[in-house]
Amino acid sequence: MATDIYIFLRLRDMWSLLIVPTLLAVVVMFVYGFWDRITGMEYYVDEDVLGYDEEMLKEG
Amino acid sequence: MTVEGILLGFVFYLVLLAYIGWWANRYTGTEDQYFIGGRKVHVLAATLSDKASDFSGWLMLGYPGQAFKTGLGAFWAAIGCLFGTLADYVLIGPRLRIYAGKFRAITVPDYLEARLRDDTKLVRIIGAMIILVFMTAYVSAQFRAGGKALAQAFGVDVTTGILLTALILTAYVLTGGFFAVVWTDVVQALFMVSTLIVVPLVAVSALGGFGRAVDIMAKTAPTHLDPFGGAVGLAALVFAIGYASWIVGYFGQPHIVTRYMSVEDPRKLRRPGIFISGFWTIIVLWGAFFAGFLGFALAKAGIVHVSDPERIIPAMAMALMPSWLAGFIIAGILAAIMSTADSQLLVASSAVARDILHKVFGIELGKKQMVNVGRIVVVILSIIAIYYATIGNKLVYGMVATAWGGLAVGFGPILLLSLWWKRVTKEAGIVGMAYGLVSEVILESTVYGWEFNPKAPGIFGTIGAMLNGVPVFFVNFFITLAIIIVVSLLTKPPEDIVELHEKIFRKVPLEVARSRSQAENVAEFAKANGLL
Repeated sequence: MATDIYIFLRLRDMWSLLIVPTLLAVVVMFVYGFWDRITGMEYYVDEDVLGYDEEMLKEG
Repeated sequence: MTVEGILLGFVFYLVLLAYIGWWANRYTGTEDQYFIGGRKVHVLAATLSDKASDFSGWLMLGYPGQAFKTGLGAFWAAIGCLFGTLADYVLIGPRLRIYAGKFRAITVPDYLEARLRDDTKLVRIIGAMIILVFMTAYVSAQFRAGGKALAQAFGVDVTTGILLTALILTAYVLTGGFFAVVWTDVVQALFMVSTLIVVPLVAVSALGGFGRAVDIMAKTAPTHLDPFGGAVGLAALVFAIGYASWIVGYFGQPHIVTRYMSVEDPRKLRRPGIFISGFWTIIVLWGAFFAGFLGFALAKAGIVHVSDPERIIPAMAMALMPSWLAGFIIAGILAAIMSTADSQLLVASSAVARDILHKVFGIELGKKQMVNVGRIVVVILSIIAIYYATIGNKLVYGMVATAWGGLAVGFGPILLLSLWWKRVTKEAGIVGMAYGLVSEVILESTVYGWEFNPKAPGIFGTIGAMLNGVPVFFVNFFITLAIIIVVSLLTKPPEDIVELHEKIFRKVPLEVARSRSQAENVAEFAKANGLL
């Protein structure tokens, strides 16, 4: 009985350590991933910033 | 278990790599293409390549080895790596890609020199030195990991395994450059994730259920089930920080952040970029942790026999799987090793060919010749890395931590501050990077090794006792950050650079930001007319 309780407590610790940070990471992903939708703003990007290598377009 | 069966899965993987190298070779004509794929790499390829380059032999050998030795507490390292990955996407990726496009930067020193307006070339020279020293150490760790995996699978000695790994790897970096590396990384990312799903499932099945693994550990090594490895109070905090400290290293890894510089559009790193990388990372870290954790129970139950904990995954593959599947698992391990080492060799070769010869010494070679110089450098660095792989630290975990730490301290603070603080100056960059290079080399090679310990002489021993087990780079990262801030406040950045920094990261309403650019229109026209 004492061994069962010990294992139950250890398993609870284990799944807490594994699952809580993982869920927190998923929350971070969604908040950052949709931050532009949440705020309605995004970085301004034009051809100058994209800076593609034109030679690649020719050779590709 | 037949060697022929293992060879079958392994050779299939090599043939696939060779085909991709040949295909990619057609796209490798200029320096831009060789080193960052023309700044137009598809977001799926760039993000999977980012993670495949990040997670190396450390994931398949070093980390499972730690989970085997420490148990549950080793999961703190997975937490550090997961949040380090996300921090890269939030704090580094999009802003670095915007600056890289604006400055037409190909390498990290390229970017830093332009951002800090350094006309002394010192930022570039110190940056190239940091890359050369620590990337060579990092590649040698990968060669050692490859040597261990091949030794376990084919019964050869570790040195022969190291030579085989180096031969295969160098051959395909030479043929394809960045495009080959990126697209083979995508295939390798799939191999890695498959391996780390299969191995824990097979382990649970062999044990007869997860409960039995816990039962075995409760009886034989109870601290394996403790989140802090049995430590309490301050020691528990130091234990968790020691493992999770990998997080700060993410800001300064050139082989990882170069992927952000290559992506087709910085906004795609937000979506879908962070989701692809984030979910992939969760799966592989859980898989690698459980492979080592359950591997310990398998060893205690006498089902698997392993002399070196870092060889637990290949040992499980050999003991529990049919030979053809074991061949794929060995290929998955090699995939992790090679997908990192190829990117590192490429970054290191760019440090010599582009940063030193081209930009510092002003040697003007044709674009094809410059690519060829890069290839010669790959061969030379591989030879040096083979030497260190055969004589260096026997533990992959420690070898990777040393190299990771040097890059983290050398580049992390300056990259982070230059992207988020307009006041950072070239003087601060030079002092901070030079301090990072010198202090990491001295502290890691002569004073402590990769983690603090009380054995160091004099005052270093006292500090080592207080921070026992915490990686040196974790503390040194914050010291370097402070140095750069102080020197920046004592000096003055050029006004136009401050203005550019404020202007370039301005945000606009979504409907303007997401409208199609002229470049996208041109690319679509080229595709529709068979020009692309």
